[in-house]
Amino acid sequence: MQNNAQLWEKALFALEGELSRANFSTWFKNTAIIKQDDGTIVIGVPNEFVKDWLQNKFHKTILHSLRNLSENVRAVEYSVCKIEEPKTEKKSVEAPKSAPVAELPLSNLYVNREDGLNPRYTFDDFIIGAFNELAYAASQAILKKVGTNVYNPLFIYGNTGLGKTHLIQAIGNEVKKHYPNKRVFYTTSEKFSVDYINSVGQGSKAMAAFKNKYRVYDLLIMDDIQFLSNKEKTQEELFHIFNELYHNNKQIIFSSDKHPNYIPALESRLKSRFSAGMIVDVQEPEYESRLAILRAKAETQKFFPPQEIIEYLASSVQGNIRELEGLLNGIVCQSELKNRNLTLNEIKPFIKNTSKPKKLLSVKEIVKVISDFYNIEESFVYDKTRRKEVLKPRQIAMFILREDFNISYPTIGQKLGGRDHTTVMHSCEKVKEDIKNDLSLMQEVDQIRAMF
Amino acid sequence: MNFTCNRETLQKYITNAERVTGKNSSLPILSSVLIATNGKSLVIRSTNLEVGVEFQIPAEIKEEGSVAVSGSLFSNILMSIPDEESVTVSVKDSVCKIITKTKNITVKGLLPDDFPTIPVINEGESFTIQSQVFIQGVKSVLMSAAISDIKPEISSVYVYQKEKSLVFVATDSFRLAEKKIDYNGEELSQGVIIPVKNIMEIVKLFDGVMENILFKITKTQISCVSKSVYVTSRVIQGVYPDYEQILPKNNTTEIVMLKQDLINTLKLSTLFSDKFNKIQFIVEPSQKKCLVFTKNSDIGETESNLTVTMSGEPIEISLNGKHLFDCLSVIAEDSIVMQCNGSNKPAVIRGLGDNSFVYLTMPLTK
Repeated sequence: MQNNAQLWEKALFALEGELSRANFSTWFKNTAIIKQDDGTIVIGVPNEFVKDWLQNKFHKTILHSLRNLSENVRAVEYSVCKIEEPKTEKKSVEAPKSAPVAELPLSNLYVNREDGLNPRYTFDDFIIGAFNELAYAASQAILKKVGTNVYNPLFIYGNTGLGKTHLIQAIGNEVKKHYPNKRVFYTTSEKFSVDYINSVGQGSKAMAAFKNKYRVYDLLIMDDIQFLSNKEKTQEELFHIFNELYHNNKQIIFSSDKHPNYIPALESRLKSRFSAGMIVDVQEPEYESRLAILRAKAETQKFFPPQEIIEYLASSVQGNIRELEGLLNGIVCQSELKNRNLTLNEIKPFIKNTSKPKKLLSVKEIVKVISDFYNIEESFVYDKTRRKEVLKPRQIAMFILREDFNISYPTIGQKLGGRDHTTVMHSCEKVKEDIKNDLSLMQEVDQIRAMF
Repeated sequence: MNFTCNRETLQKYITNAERVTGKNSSLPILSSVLIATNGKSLVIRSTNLEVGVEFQIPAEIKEEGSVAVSGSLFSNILMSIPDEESVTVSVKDSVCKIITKTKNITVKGLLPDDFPTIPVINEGESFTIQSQVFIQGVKSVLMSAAISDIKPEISSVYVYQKEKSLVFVATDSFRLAEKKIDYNGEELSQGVIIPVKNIMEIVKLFDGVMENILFKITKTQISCVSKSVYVTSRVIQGVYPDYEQILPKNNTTEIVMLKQDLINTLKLSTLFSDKFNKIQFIVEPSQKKCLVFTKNSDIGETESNLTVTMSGEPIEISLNGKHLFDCLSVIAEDSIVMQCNGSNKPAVIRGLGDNSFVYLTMPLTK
């Protein structure tokens, strides 16, 4: 099968000969083949006027010329759609820079009311690297077969600022583009629960409307699912919606900042359902990906810093993409102020100020921070005492030393008052398990981690 | 074809139809209007492929048929024979003969078969609204729509239903106007984005008409039907920015003044404003002072003291004088309220006691 653009170009060439020039340029401007499906060709036209006219006047001519080019063409349909004009050199149409006028901050608000998707998020500017390869592959599999694939539901988790929202919104936008008949809906768990709470307050009619609203979609995307923890009734409602959609082969996509098993206070039946399809994580980008991301971001800002600066940024700033973007923006801003490219030496202090380096800490210092947090004597941690108020901080200390600082079990035992390595292992396991079910414990651990 | 019709009526509708013909199209038929018989009435149709319009007017039909003739020529002919009460038009082989008591005119027409059809909407949602109410809604926001076509979705007027009102919005990203009018018809699941040029044509066509208009909307097209007029226009298939998020909910400074006072002051001040129409307001509620200041290094400067009531924090803010004028002309109240949230946040203007209209304008930076 020939590709859409080529086929249409050839067809237009033939049509041009048959029609008067004025006719041709009026009616065939901004048209394109948007889909070939089993012998049916769908031609995208700019408006209803053209659609009517092509259908009534030129249908036979068009069908004839397409048949000449491709034998299996059986029917031609017309559909009004936005056709992107070929991207020619983008002329800068911005207001002259001297104009002292700020714009209303509308540019970030282009959110489609109907499906909640922001059209800004596409795969075009999505950068794929080792860190998100798997998630991307899963998303592409979904695009091939929406709903009826093994990746249903797709659960994407990873830390903040790693592009989860971009990825899932891009899936939504792409599905919308390729399957115009499929109904897509993007929401955040927070909006979902607000919606639920509102409907509860408004009586049974509103409740029924709420129940029906989410069941008509072919693709439901729910972002930041971790905020559902502790909202039991909302979880129950999601559970029912999930079942309904899943049994009708509708695609469901979730994102969260944690693996479903680690989301505290989440119903186990939801957890098991999340795990039924595919769970992928998005990690922090490695050096090459960071480099690619920085280059792409710089390009969109029309800012071309020297190679060495990009490389330096990529190597020295670890962590999430949002931080990278922030740093780059800062540098763009600085060099615009100074009206020249910054040198490497000028950038170094800049990075030092914004990124927080991981300090090298001794075990003693870590224990001090933790015992201070729990307001106990530091020495108790090293003692043999098994009092409850000491036991917990000691176990958490072991857990953090192991998880965050990668110290071996025997060393931890030895440093914390000559304990056996199996004691340490037990403590780590216990904290790990408890975190899953205890929201306050998790918050404590997070707070402690933030102090390092 | 052969029909007789009142000259004045025919002229009015041909002139209306002529406005929506294709002005610089390479296809000559687009610059003509189609005249056809339909039972006992006459149909006049024209389109520029953005907007299509069709009128039904009463006429005495002697012989059925149709013809396409140059719109501007035909309306000029009718305008140049103001003394004639009625005209008789007969067409044979696309040659159109206009016969009056004293004159005999022959005009070459085009084959009506080549005339474009006008889309008819049978599906989609619909609502009915009185024509003048609709026009008021559109005219209240029209001036704020962007002129250039770079971003088609904001070079438009956005109409949607919210609770018990129909909301009209337009913005060029430097200012924004929102007008709500009472509405108690069917619930509309989605709004419609109508290109500003097209909605201007629609408004003109219904100007001076007091009828209910039936609107039908689909994702690609809108149509407006009244007793004698059918208008249809392309709509923008896009996303309108969720502008409600930028409407300030509170304010730090509030100024109430007489509309006419401000207009008079602005008239003087704009004589001296620079090319950005910059007008500086210095408001100090504690000292009961509100100064309006403009300066143009080539001409001179003005300083006026406005009599106002005000409250809140002192502020210095520079606004675009043209934007202010634009909104004052659509506010009916005698007094206006201006609310600010600091010198680099948008200023809100509305009529005192009127919650149906909001105008937002971005300040100029120094």
